[in-house]
Amino acid sequence: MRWNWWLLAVTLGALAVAVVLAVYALRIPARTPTQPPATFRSWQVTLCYPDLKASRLVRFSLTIAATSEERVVEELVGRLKAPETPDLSPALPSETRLLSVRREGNVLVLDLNDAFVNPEFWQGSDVAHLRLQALVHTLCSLPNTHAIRLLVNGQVPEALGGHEEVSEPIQPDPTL
Amino acid sequence: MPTANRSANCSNNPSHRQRQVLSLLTFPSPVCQFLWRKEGAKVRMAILALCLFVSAFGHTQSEAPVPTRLLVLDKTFNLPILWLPDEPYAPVGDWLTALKIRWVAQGSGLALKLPYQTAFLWTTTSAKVIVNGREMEVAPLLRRGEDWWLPLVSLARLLRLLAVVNPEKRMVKLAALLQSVAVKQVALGWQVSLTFSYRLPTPPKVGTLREPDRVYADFVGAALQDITLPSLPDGSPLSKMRLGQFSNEPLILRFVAETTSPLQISVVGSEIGDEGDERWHLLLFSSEQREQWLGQIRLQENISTRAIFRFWGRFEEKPTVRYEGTTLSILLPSAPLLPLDNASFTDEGLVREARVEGQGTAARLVVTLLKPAQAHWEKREQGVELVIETPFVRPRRVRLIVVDAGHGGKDPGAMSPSQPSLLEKHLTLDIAFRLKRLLEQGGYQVLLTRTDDTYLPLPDRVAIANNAGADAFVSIHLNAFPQPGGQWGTEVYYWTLQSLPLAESIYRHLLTLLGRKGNGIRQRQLYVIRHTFMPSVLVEPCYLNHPEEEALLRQEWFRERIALAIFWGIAEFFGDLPTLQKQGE
Repeated sequence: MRWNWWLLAVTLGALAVAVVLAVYALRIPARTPTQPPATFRSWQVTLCYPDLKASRLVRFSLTIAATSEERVVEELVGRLKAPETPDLSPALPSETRLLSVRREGNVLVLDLNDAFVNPEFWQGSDVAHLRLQALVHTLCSLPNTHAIRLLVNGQVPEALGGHEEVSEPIQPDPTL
Repeated sequence: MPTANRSANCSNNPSHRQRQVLSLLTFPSPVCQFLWRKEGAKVRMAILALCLFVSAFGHTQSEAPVPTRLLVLDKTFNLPILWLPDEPYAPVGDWLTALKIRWVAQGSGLALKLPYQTAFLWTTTSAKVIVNGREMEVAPLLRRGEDWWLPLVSLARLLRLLAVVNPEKRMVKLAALLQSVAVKQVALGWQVSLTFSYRLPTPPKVGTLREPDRVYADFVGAALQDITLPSLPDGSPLSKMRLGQFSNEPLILRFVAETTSPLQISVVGSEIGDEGDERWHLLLFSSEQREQWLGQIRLQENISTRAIFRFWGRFEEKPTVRYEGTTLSILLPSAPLLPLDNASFTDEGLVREARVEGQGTAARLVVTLLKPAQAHWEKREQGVELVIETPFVRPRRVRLIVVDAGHGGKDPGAMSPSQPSLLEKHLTLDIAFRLKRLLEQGGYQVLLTRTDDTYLPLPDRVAIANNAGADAFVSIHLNAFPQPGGQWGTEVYYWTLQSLPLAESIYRHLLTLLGRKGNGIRQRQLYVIRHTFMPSVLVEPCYLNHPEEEALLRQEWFRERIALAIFWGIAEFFGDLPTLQKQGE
């Protein structure tokens, strides 16, 4: 009988230790030794949209907290597709997806999906120009970015809507 | 260095003749005894005077230059040459440019600059010169009055040229020597490389011959010497190779390869060695091969108003040229097999910098110019030439207007919402044809960028205008707005300030004749008006997706009015409107 009490006490003790260890393990986040902790950084950018009359660019200052430049570009592409106010025109077709981003010196290279070249979106010389320049002005507000090179599925696309040549890196139009 | 055919000519040797006369006067002989006899003293004195005259005359003649033919690589010069006992001397002059040698007088000598080598000094006093750190023995220069005279055999030795001196025919030849031949297999076929001791004046001329099948290459300015031809590799379509001196005047060395099957031959390009030697590469490939390739790009002329790039290779179509201010970007079919040859680069030339960027089909030649210029292609026997000239080199009496019908082919442009749909590409072409007719009736020359429903990239439209040296460029479009019906009216776009008056005159006439709302003249970096050199505008007379304007565009008279308004705008810009109005009356 006395032996049974001893067995019960040991079992309860082991259980208590297991519970303590489990709680401790849950409270400490898992870390992979090879991956440094992701740190957020603040990025000051200027977000640009064409106005509804397609006569000028409207600018907004914006701070984005992100872990990398790629994440910032993703965020900007998302915002350019859908302006927050109805008096602005989108700078990118709504189905556009960013496939990848890389740098070639001061040139930011964006690889986008097919939806980007939707001809209906790029109709009208001035509308097409303002929309493309909204994208270029926005991305060129990133540090050390002087021009944007655009690819579609890794290939150089033809002129957007027959108006905007994009085979070379595009710089901001200073008149806008 | 071999100096063939050189032989002494006693009749022109002054010392020899003087010795003859001296021997007559001083040594006892039957002739002397005859001279010293008392009888016939007058006759003897006359003979003596004659001998002295001949002696003196002969001396003078030997020091005088003699008309001589001087063959320098591919050029022939008739020059007075001093035939001195050691070697012939030629007066420094234009013939040196055939060797691409520049010179300047410096103290008691000349500073000579050889191609690909540093300058060196050659004096009248020293029998040695130092070229590229190496001391070489030469005959000293001669100075007579203001003229400098170069010893030709010494010059040939310095330049590693062959000197053929023929005093009897009064001829001197300077030729590049063939040094070696090599054959190797490359991705495109078989490459034959011939190395010469000096840069040849022109690229080789190549061709094919039949029965038996063979290919040949002629090298002008080159001479043959005994060399060992390489053995032919296994699997090679070449059955035999041979070399021969095809012509002696001009000097032409011919390379011939017999082949087991019909082959094509093409020049790939050349490379220059440190010693100034030149290696020419030839490509032998199957007659059925249609693959595009680029051998080498050579800047072969570069002066302040004109530059020429030579492209060797096989092209299906001429490479596209894109303009960005003073920078030209030429899209290449592939990266060149050999490095860019910049030998003609000078600080004073139109081309300031040229470099090849990218690989494969993304390769391009980027050329930085001193000032904006127009480029056009010229077909050559092998490959093409890109000729870049500053504007207005070619005067034209009739003004040339390039009319660009927007969109086309797979790019329809804007589309009207009502059925049957109107396509922008069809309307712009219709208006362009109308404008062409009006302009031609007004005495202008007109070039349309497209005449049918085909797709034409924007850089090609720009290239047509720039290459033609147009006086004005008008791109015709019809507008569209994201929300159909949301916008209407007329807009005209320009980029450069020289284009603003043209934009203003066309805009004014469009508003007058069409009566639509004026949305303004806008300065925009649109591709076709940004990259054209001449006054250029892009017109958007009205909106295709506005119901009222769409209905107007369906009317022929309205499209005619658009064309008429643009025509009047152009005529006003050039100051021709009053004349045309008088003609109309």
